[in-house]
Amino acid sequence: MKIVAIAVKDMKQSSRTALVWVFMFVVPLGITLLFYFMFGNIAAGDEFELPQTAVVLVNQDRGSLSGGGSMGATVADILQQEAFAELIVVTESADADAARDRVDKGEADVALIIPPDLTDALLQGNGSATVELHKDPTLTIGPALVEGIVSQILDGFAGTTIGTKVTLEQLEAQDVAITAQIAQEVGMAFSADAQTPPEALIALSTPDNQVEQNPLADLLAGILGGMMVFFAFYTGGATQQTILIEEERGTLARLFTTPTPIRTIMGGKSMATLFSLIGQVVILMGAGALVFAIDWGEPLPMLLAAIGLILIAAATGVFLVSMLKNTRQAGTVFGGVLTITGMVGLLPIFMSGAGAPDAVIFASLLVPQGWAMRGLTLSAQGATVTEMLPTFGVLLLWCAVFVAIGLTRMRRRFA
Amino acid sequence: MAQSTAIVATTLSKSFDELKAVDAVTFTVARGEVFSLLGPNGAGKSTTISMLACLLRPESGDATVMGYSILDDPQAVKACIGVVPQEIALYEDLSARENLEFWGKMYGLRGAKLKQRVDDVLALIGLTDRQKDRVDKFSGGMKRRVNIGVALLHTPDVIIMDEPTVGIDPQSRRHILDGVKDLNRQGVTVLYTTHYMEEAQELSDHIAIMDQGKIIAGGTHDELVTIVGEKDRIEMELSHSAPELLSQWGALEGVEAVSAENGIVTVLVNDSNRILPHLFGAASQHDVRITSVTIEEPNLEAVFLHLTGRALRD
Repeated sequence: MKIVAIAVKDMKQSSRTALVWVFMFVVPLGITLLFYFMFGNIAAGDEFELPQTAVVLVNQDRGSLSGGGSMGATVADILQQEAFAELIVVTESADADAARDRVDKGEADVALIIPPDLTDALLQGNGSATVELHKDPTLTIGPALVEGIVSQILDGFAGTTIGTKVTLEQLEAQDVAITAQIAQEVGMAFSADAQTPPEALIALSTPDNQVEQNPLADLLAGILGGMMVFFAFYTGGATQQTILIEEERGTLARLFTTPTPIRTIMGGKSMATLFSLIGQVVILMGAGALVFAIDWGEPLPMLLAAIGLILIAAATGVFLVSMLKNTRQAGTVFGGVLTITGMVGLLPIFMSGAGAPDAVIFASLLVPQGWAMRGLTLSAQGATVTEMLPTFGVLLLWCAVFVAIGLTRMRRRFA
Repeated sequence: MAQSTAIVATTLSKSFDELKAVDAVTFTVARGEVFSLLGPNGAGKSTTISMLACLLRPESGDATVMGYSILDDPQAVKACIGVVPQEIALYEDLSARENLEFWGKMYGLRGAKLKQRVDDVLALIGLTDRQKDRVDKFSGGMKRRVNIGVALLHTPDVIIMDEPTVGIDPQSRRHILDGVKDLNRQGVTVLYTTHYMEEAQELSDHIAIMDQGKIIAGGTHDELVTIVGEKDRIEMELSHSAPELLSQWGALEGVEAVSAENGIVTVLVNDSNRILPHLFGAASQHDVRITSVTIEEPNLEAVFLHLTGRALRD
């Protein structure tokens, strides 16, 4: 098959040009890699680890509960539970001034001083006690965390006091003689509840069918998709440009002296363009999926998007080359036309964070790159085949117009 | 069409805008002969063979190659010719072998036959050892040889060579001329264009001299030479330019023509032995010193000069 021989020859020549590899694969993947390194840590959802907060605990509580211990001891126990081990490190001290001094010297982040009358104040409900939180003024998160935990514990204890009071009042109303023992037992019962974590009243759950979010992959899908569209159009133009190169070097005229029809020669060149584009798109999409975990969408919509891109890039190459007289013009046109239209077509992907304005989206759809990008974006967003068809149809329309103009001009030129 | 005829060109004409590049050219090339189109640059030689190779469509006239019309059956014409273009027309980023294999496929060769023909041609052009080297690493002469080799792959009946020795070293030129003779000995018909009189003289069975789009003379070398009446050609270099001296020489009895180009004066005479003393005498009268003299027997250069009044090299 002469047509295949011409295509293979063209691709063999292309493969020996370093610049082709650079523009087809290295630059698109390189730029995506750049974005990966720029946004990888944040967008990948890596855990943010707080530094541990060093707490010096001074428990001066002299109160006593019927079961033993005190409210201060309970606070100390809770703070030293395994659940808080990654957030706070507690060391106990007997001297409040020494504890404050350690914070002032930067040897600890927070000094938590529990007053001697804490238990009594909470159990009897008729006094007040103040827990002191002495903290390093340069720190915010660690002390706030400790404050939050302690407040939650003390709120629990306050609830105990209120509950005890209300219960005792109810007992008195029912003519029950309130002895000291009864009062303490009621208080102990509520304090025990206060020390027990309440069961969740609202259960949070994730639906089984929810799509797993990967913000980094979504970001990279836009970047790599955009680069793929941008450089695929260059590939289409550059491979079709071999017609001009061969014309200038005399090999095209020599091909015309062989018993090979012109349509076979042009067909071979177009086949080389299509094969090159297929290779480029498959490799870039494959690398995107494997290396950057990009989800390009369901197979059929993705296939439509890829085919649309390949066809329009090839058709644009045919159209542009048919307008050119020589390779000098090609450099200018490819550098100018494809760069400008490419940038216009890809504008929405650079505004996706804030949502691209309608005017920008409209402008992007005035150029074929915009439609090719739209196809890839829709597919990556999970569009169905039916939802893809309008975009694919527009891409085919662009192709038909470009190919018709291109082939007509080529036929006239080489007739 | 007689079986002995390879090419018949009948009143072929082609214009580019206002320029009549080929004007009603008619000639016949017999099978198995070397036929040269001889003429200066711009004479219309390349345009003529471009029409014969079906690259250009003639405005009027027609031609047949091995019995096939270039107008009615161009694919059949292309199948039986091998064209060697004037410029190197190869893929320089491919090796010599890759080039030959590709062009062989364009001529319809496949498989074992293709491989065999590529091997044969590589041996013929003396590049078997360098077959895997990229063409852009080759010297100009080696590229020329590959350029010719491409046209031989499909063992064509007719080879059309457009000035294949332009711009190459003497050794490669010799190699090419010997190659043409070898091909011709194998029965291949060769249509050869050149502006080198010596090449046409050495290679050709028949020669057509072209100038300004027309064939102004044709025949064998001996037949063409008779056009100038067996005249001798005297080339002289003078100490300084003297137009009045040339006028006086032109008026001498036995002098047929006088021309001056690039400091060399060419005089066509009936008998150089008899005329030379008169030429020297006239030069002396005008205080012009003749610094060199070359006398040549009648040749194609003289024919061209005789027919056009200009030297062929122009």
